[in-house]
Amino acid sequence: MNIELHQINKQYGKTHALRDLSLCISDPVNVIVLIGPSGSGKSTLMRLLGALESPDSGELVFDQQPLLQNEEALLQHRRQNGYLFQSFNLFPHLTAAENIELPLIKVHGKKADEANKLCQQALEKFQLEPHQHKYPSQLSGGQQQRFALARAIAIQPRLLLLDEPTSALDPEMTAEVLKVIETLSRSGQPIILSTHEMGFARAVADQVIFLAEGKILEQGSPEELFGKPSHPYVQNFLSKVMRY
Amino acid sequence: MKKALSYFLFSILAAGFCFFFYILLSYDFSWHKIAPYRWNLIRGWGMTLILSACALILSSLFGSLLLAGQLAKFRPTRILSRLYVEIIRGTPLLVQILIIFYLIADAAGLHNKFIIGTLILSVFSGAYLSEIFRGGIESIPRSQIQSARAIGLTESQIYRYVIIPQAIRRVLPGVSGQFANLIKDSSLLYVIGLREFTMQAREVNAATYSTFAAYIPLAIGYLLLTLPLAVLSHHLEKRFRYEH
Repeated sequence: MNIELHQINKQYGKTHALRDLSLCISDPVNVIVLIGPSGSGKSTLMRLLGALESPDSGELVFDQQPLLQNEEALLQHRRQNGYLFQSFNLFPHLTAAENIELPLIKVHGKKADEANKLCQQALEKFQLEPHQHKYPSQLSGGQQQRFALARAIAIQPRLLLLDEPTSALDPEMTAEVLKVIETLSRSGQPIILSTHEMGFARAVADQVIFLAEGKILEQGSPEELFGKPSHPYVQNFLSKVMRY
Repeated sequence: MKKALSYFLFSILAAGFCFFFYILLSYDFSWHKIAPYRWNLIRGWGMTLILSACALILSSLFGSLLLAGQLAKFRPTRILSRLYVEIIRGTPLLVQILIIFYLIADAAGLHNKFIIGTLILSVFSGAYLSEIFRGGIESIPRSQIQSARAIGLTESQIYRYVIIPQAIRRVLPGVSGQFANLIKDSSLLYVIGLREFTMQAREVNAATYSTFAAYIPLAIGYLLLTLPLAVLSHHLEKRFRYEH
């Protein structure tokens, strides 16, 4: 996966969420983890990478193909990738299995039996088959996130974007979701993950990006960034959050 | 304490019903006087049934159109739809009936009272329905739309597979209440000489001077139309339930 961002700016009213952000990631990097304080622009960056929003200026390039900022191109981009939010990913009026089959049938044009087969494969991977006929309100938060992940990978996404996927979960559920993400990363699935779980970031990342105030302060391998951060702000932040 | 309160409420309601039936039984209604007119009442009831059924369908169409108008991207469409809804909801039905019948329908060369009556009811009820629909659609959390966009659904697919199925469950109680209102509001159409249920009852009353013998069947007749609607709505609410 090659991703290049050139001079990205994004503003919400007076808040400058991203400032002249440039980034270059190329093979063999597979798992990219975004860390940084709340309000640093992590979510905004994720949403731009997922084509859920357009930048005010700048360019995103995926595998040498610039992402055009028109509705059709953005839709195509969203269809290729999987995206996971903090919570409320599933549709409450559909069962868990129907949630997974909906995009397969309506977006990717699969027949019902083929969609069911792909759905079952995804569920098997995460051992979720016993719960597939439940509605989201009957599932725990961790199960909901795992089903949402199953929905995202069932379409065999080019890139999986996970925006703080465990921030709304208790530690036990966090562990069960992280385990699934770890399995996915091992299987070679390209992933961009934003998280506050520093230990996990260190364990799975090929490349860590530290964001603050809409800018990249530091980028490097987990050993470099967590072992000997060079930017004073990053040193300060990490020493604070790693203390306990 | 709670139990005591519900017993208390029960006894008040039960006593009220007993008193009501006591009055009904002890009053001399002279039912025999209206017997010769029973077919007039039955014909009127049939007219109200057909009129309401047609207006029910047409007002739903009207309400959906107005809803589309209010959600439209083109601002003048939004303003006009809003204006329509506010004018219809803010003025008495009686005045609307007179204006539409004597001014508009007349100028348009429309003279069939049944068609005009259906149109008036639909125009009136459609305004209320569009507001109920809008409330339902706007109550769907933003996270649902985000999540639907993220899996690659198009704008119209988001409405069809995510928003509307969830909104239906939420608007059912309001819609069934509005339908009951529509049925009862059709009684005002006697002012244009439409021979519906209420008009027939008024005529029976005028001919026999036995007010209650004419009007109590009227009340029962309307209940026979509104109660099945309420039962159907409760049944549908249960069917569309997805919170467990």
